[in-house]
Amino acid sequence: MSGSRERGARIAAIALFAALAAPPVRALLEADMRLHMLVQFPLLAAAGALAAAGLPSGWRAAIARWNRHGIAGLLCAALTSTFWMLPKALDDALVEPWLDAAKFVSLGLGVGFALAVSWRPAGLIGRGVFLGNLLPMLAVAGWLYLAAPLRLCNAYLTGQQQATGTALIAAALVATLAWLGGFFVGAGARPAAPRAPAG
Amino acid sequence: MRTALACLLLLVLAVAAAARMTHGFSAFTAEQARRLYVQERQPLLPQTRLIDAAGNTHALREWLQADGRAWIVDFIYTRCETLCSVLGTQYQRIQANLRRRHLDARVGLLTISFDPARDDGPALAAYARRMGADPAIWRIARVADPADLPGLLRFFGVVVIDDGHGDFQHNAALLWVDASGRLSRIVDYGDAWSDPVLAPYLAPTAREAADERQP
Repeated sequence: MSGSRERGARIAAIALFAALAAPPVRALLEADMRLHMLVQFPLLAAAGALAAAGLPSGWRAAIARWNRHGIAGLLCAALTSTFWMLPKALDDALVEPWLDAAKFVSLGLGVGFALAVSWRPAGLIGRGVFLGNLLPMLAVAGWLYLAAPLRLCNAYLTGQQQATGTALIAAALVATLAWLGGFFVGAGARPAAPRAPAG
Repeated sequence: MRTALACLLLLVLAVAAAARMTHGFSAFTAEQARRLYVQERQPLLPQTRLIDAAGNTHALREWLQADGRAWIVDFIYTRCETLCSVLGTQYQRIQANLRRRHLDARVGLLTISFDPARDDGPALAAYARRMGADPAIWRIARVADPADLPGLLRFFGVVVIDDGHGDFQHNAALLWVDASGRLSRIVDYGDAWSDPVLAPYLAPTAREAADERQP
């Protein structure tokens, strides 16, 4: 049955989460701004997504009742991602352990888990709105980090800030190309068939 | 229906969290938050022990409260060839202006080194000579006990990061201490000439201010 696959996903989620929370790993990833935002953040989201994959089907249905067309989940992911782009949020999380814990939980659940349970139900328009907002925002944040005349974060040197800005812009660009490319290549290229409500 | 409710709750939560984090959408960086705090609470200076360029020891708050002057404080390290030397040049101009306009009875200058290891007595004395610092107007000091430095920097909102090549990256600002020994304002060195509190004591012309600003 699919029970063992779900159990595997749950174990993987916990393992990934624990690995990221381990003090040496945390210190390593949070020491460099690029690693912090472009490695730790996505990995936390991945742990959340794995947790979603490990959900028993009854739970999925219950969540779906509050998340028609994945709208609530996509909104949650967008809001959470935006919050953690605030320079002050990054700085404060490095100084206050409870805020760092909140960061772990909110990125895992609020972004990873939320996206995982909302992506399929969302359909083309929902995903389009989500990506169409988030990707430009990522690029603008990256540009701000790059172009700001001062250091935005007290904890990171200007060189790191600029490198992070460049990396964020690059990530946004790559993601945009991948998304748009999907319309022209493979399954996306075929005309959309009417879809039954997905679970 | 339930999804709409969920969305509403998420929005409210997100706005509340963002408002709390940014102090009502006014501080997006930790630096902005620090400045807001200082302007609103005007914290009293600590009594950190400092040693001036002549080797005398003083307690910071007492030293600055003693003669009823307000103070403009900055933090440097004397080996710095970039930001700190600009701050030094600015202080020279301010000193000249205070003297010329006889404002030195009302405002004094204090430079504190955040590298007490290398900025010892002789180094500070050499810096004072190099800058032409008049001890009656411009005091230069280091912390007596290096263990006090992190607390002092934290109080003034100065963040210093060792860049690994023997130099430091740090935020640079002018710190205004009023006559009663309270830190009441933090101003970027580039904005000092247009700051309503500081400007009256600094260079008199807008032209000089424009020259000082970084490109």
